[in-house]
Amino acid sequence: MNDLLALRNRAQEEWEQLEHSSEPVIYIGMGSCGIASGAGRIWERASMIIQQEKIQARLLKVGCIGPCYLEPLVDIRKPGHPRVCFNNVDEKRLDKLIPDYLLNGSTKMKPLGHLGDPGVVMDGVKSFWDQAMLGKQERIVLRNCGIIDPENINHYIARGGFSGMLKAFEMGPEGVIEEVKLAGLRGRGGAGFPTHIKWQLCREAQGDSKYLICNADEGDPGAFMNRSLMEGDPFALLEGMIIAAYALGANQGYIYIRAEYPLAIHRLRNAIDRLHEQHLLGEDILQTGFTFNIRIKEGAGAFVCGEETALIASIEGRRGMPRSRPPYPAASGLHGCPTNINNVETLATVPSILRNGSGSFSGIGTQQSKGTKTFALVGKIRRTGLIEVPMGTSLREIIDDIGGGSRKTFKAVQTGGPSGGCLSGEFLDLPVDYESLSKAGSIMGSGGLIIMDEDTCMVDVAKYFLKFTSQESCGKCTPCRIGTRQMVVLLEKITSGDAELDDLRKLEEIAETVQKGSLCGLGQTAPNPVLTTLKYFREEYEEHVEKKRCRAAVCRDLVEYTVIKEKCTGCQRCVDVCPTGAITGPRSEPHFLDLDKCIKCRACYEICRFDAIAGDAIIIE
Amino acid sequence: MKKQTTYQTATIDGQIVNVRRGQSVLDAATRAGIYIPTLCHLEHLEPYGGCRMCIVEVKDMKGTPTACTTPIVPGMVIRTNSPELQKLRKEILEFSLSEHPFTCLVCKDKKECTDFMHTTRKVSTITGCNFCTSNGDCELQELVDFLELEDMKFPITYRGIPPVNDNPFYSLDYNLCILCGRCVRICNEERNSHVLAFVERGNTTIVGTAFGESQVQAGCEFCGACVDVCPTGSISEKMGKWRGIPDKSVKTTCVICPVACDMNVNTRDGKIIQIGPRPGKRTWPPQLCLRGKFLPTEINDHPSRITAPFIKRENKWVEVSWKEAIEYTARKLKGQKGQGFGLIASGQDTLEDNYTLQKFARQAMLSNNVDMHGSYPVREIPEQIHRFRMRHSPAGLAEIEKADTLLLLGLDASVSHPLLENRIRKAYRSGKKVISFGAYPTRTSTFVTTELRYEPGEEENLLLLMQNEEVRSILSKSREVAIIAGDELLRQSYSANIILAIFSIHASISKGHRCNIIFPGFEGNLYSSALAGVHPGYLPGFQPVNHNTAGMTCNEMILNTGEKRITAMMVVGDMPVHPGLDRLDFLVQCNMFKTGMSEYADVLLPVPDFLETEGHVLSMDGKMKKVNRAVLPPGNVLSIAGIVAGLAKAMGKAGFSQKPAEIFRELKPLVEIRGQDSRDVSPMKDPSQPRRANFESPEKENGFPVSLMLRYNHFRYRGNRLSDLVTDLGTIAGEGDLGLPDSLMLKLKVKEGDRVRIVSEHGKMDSVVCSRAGQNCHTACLLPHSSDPSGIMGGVYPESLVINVMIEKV
Repeated sequence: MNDLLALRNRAQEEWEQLEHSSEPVIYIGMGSCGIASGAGRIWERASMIIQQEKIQARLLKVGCIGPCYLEPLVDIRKPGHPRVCFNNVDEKRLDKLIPDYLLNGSTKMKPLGHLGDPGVVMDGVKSFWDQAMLGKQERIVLRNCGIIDPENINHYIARGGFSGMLKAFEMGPEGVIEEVKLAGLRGRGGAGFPTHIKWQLCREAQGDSKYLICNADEGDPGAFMNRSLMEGDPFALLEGMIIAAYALGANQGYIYIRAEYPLAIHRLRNAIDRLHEQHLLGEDILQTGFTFNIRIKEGAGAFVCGEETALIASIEGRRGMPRSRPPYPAASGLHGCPTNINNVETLATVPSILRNGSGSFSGIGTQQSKGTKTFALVGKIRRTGLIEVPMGTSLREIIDDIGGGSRKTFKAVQTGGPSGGCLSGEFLDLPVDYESLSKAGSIMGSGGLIIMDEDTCMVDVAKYFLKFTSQESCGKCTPCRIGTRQMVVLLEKITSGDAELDDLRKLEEIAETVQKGSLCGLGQTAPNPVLTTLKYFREEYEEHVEKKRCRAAVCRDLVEYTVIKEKCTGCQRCVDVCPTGAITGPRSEPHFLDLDKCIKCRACYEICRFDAIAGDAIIIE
Repeated sequence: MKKQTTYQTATIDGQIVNVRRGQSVLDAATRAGIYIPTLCHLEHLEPYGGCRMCIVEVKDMKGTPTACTTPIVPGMVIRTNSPELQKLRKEILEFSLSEHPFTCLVCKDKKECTDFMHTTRKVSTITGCNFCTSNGDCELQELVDFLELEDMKFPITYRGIPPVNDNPFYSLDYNLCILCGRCVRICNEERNSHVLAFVERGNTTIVGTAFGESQVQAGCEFCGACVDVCPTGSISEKMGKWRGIPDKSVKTTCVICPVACDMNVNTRDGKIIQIGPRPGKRTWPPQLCLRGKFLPTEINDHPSRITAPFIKRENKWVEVSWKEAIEYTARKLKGQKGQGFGLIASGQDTLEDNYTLQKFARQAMLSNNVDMHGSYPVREIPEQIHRFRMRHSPAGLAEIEKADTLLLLGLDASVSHPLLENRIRKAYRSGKKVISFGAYPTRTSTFVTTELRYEPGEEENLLLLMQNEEVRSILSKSREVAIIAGDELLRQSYSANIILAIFSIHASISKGHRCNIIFPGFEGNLYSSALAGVHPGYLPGFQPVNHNTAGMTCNEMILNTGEKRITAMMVVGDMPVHPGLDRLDFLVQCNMFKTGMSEYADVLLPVPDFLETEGHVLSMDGKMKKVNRAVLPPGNVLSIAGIVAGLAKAMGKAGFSQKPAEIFRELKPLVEIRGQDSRDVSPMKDPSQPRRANFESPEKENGFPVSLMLRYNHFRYRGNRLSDLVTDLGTIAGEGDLGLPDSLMLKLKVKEGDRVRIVSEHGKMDSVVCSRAGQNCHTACLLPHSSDPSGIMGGVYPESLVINVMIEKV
């Protein structure tokens, strides 16, 4: 314990030095999202600039702070000034920004905000946290993301890291489970099973050895909460795992993570090494007599491996196929031993519950769903990114206030990935918690929120998700393997205009069989996207079937593109983008579209940027 | 520890049933006589829950759990046949059928089609729907009838996968596959072959091999288990599959190896359709191996079988009547009485036949020159084994299953005794200790926990084995040890000492533990025929013959043909061609085929195979098992005992019966295995002090620096070389492949695939290097063709499995 106190003192010293550094510090958001939008090049450019200009400055990598649509994000702290965040920094802007801000003292670029306390204006700049996107958020799990260097254990410790673990060791395993129970923590992986019950069952199970598995096989299309969390604050996950393992009596932990997350794997590996260095992992942690090790198992990216029994099979080296339960993993899991599997977010939430007490967590949220939940807010929305909101926040608040609404008319929100459903506008005031969402026919899921506007065809969305599940089915049980495919066949029939009304009935019938007959959660929930769209957007289906019309102009077979002469300005953007040369016409004159050459790729429709034209220039017959 | 079985009750469909701990709902229902449909479930395999046919409703349980995977608990209330369940099942079955040709299942003309099915073979198969070999024996058809499925609402999506035919024995048509996973599971869980797997995923999931390799490349052992368990026509035997559905099934015993498996021979109109556990149950009796399941069918129905006797006149074979053949042979043999006559029998015939043969040689021909193909080079070995089995009871598969530690000595059983090796694999899988002592890596090596190597000639290490610290610590923790002593150690010129060493090990282990030795000899009745008197040195029951009149072994006979020594021979089966045969005055061959040896024969008498014979086989574990006639022999074929009785009668010798039952009554008291025997073999007293240099290691003479281990070629039946008879068997037999350890490859500057010449003092042969031997090994090994025309071995059969050779690159 004394070791940790000494370590904490050293860590705090380092953090203070950084906060009050005498030389400027440049923080670059280098999560996968940041790197994808060019942060890697920004990093190189920044190192080059400070070398060329002979600026004494430190460069620091941090994780993703949330607003992905503003990436790449660069924070700069000058001595005696707050840490200020600049958005959408490209190389050109960086060339000016660094010398201007650090050498000349001011820059023309408008900063996004300072990273000090909200509500305070410093240097004439508002707080980053006061932005519309961040104002309504409550950051518990994500509190370190984008703030600390995810590869530096001292940063984590200086911000309260491992005090939750210390408290856990004081409380004893039963105490920890009681605390988690009081906090009301439920599984963040989607189903919302109370975490303490899971832990209790595994703790009570008989077995020579027990295992703790962190399920980091995040596979929902459009979801990236866990990835960002592991990239931005890997230590929190590891601390959570140590606490959970301590409560369960497990001595071996696994992080099952998909190999498509190389950065997260790299940072987790680094974090595990750092913990071993400080004796926070391994034999006899902090002289408590508790031994715990963590191994990383890279999955090959099969969606079904998120199902716990398939995940276990995959760790054991077998094909990732689920098996029937019982026995439940808590009784017989990995290598036949009692095993507990938790989602990344669940485990990463645990340290804060222990650190701040269960009350701090249970005070947030609704009666049955406590605390906060992270979401990946994506789709047809102005402000996309990673958010964390208290449970019970309404969809409207998330979409309109945090996300800034859709540019075009909002149509639907998809929650819970392929197992979830699409909710229409009438559900916008629905509070986001486990019960409300499942009552509406969808699920909380792991936290993907896909916003759709009038340009989205709901039949096409259902088809997309069904194709996904039918391809990701493990192939073991008949209803899931063939039923989903039969549904795709029917949906394709509908989107190509060959369907009859009876096919909708057939679709529902198959959906029911797949739901009831499938072995695991993947199959049982696979029809949800179809069932919810059929329920809330039935008229779109009927339109496809009866009028052979796709109102969103998505279903290629039901769309014909033409140029409306009155609206076309002759800007030639569509001429440039057309892959078959179907659009012709001189500049500034209305263009002509040759239907024989048109392959309905929709590129012209997407690129036409005159709002007046974009809505109507291409009509659907 | 006694198993606790607590009986309490649950309710299935209103019926009160007993609940036993660990039982599934399906088990309980089946026991109570309640039918729940299944497709993927198979006894002896882990419950799978994939086909979803056995879904049931359980009170207070959400959803529709599968009966096969749900443990039954007291008080459960289960419904198995509500209309909702039937509807769900029907729809799920329809899903399956949407990927499976279903005209044979739901066509309105199905009945007429079945009635006239026997005509379809006369016309092209495309005019009917007879594209599935399992039509009539298909579990889908049973389910369609049970669920009263009459129409299909889904369009069929034919997978369009080309049938896989790239192996000798079975074809795979994955278009008929419903992915029940039985084949995959039996291949992995039961046989531990790990060849079949699910490949791809999602709706393109299919059964296949890793990386799309052929069955042969993927290491298929052709045990045929997948063929037996397939509920549809997806996997089927190439031989016999179009002959329809069996109408008769005969239970008999396999004589090919001494494991002596039960086998069901399924026939239709007197022709074999297939051999295996069917009909009814697909895993019971237990499944067979390549040599038991596929080869007997191939031999039995071989087009080149001879069905009448032949006599050679003016160097031409002339078909004659049995009467003429017997009279001619008897007349000729009459003049050859005495020690100039030699008889070679086969270890793969029934005890009755072999007993009669030796009786004929001894009583009618007055000669002790009686031996078998492939008998032990050291004459005393069968007797040693016999004495041991008299004092300790014979051991077999049951003892392997009971033991917690297995000690494999010189065992390469994956081809010779697959079902025995299967128990080794299972023991390894269940965490038991398996220690192997071998000269080169074998397929079994994958399933051992400790592997020790010896170089041929250094088998004294066998005793040092007991000094090995690792082995000692393993043995000190075991309760029951099973030693499996392979023939590889017992077929050396110095094996008399080796077997004593094995007994010493046994004696040493027996001090603190239960210990059994299993002697899996190579051929079904090889050991027991010696017991029945087919041995130059022993009368039936291992009564030694007078030293002066002891006969010659197989090799000795061939090497001593000619004037005044061996002048006439009778051979059952086939033998490698040897110049010695030419020096014989008279040679009778009793075989199913004309072979290379027939060139030298004067009379050729057709014989039945073991599927056409009545008799007994004495299994490895001492059980006298019945061999039954499953099909009638073709044409005009007499049994071996019938031929012998005919010859004896023609020679005026009485007391030869041709009825198996009568012969068995005569021989049974002579071969009873249990009993007291005063002559004891004395194992070395103190194995903690092994005597070195007691073994004569073959000297590595100048010029022949490499010791070459000749692996025994198991692809023969009665000495007939099967790779000549069975199409494509040669492609998987690996005959002529030379395995070289890395060190030798380096020394000889050869690499995999190189052609080399092997030279021994007797002859030379060409071979191809394959990389069988691994790093911790110093011995080259070769699987010779079962005939040895080049003669590197010296005799027709090697006197020792190890010979000294020189290997050079060509």
